[in-house]
Amino acid sequence: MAKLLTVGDSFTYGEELADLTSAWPNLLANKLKYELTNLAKPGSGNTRMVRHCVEQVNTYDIAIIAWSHFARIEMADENGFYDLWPGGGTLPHKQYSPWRWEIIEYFTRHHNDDYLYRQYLLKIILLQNFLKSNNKRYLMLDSFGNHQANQRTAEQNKDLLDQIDATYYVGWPDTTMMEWAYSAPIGPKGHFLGQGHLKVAEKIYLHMEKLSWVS
Amino acid sequence: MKWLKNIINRIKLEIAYRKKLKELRKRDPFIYK
Repeated sequence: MAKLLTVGDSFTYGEELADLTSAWPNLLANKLKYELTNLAKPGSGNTRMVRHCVEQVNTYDIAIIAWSHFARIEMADENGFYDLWPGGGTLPHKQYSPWRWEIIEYFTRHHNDDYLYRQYLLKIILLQNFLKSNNKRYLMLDSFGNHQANQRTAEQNKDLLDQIDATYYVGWPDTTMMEWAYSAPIGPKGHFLGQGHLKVAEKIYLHMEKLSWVS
Repeated sequence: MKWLKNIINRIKLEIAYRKKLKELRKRDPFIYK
């Protein structure tokens, strides 16, 4: 049985679903009869996803990377890893690492969006090349928002955008999961619910069919 | 009067920060507990 690794943020984790086994990674793995490891985490940054794909390279046959917003990054301190982005971070930090909020506030005041966006593109390029060199099948997709940055800054980032292999990038560069699940009901915190997860799983499945990965 | 100008500048910076924060929270509005 092929082993599937999925990494992502709350949309891949299944945030706001009554049953996490209804999240799109489970739906897709069930349909394909793959063994699933879903390392998605609410609030995850993109650095964390790259780290898992590299650290776990000997444990999966296929990886699906569902990038979060380009500005989300991972940091670490004496209490371990944490993710942050301009304007926010994950709330549990307040309880046991209150100083993390000082960094989040500094980051919110002084971040550079152009730099963060280029870092996101670099992560895509480097991870694609890493997975290819390790003979791993992979797909990438975006959870939300990044398509707007792709369109807004296409000219100034052409050098990096041209290096991205769109063959293995579902919806690139114009759409994200949020568009695929557009008409599906959403929960109070803004995540699409069961119907949206079905749509996302179907979209990825169709892309796999196009690549002749599905028998 | 220098102290007054300093206060006004600080208030201006704080208003700009609050405005920026509002925009940033619109583009990544997901909150996790």
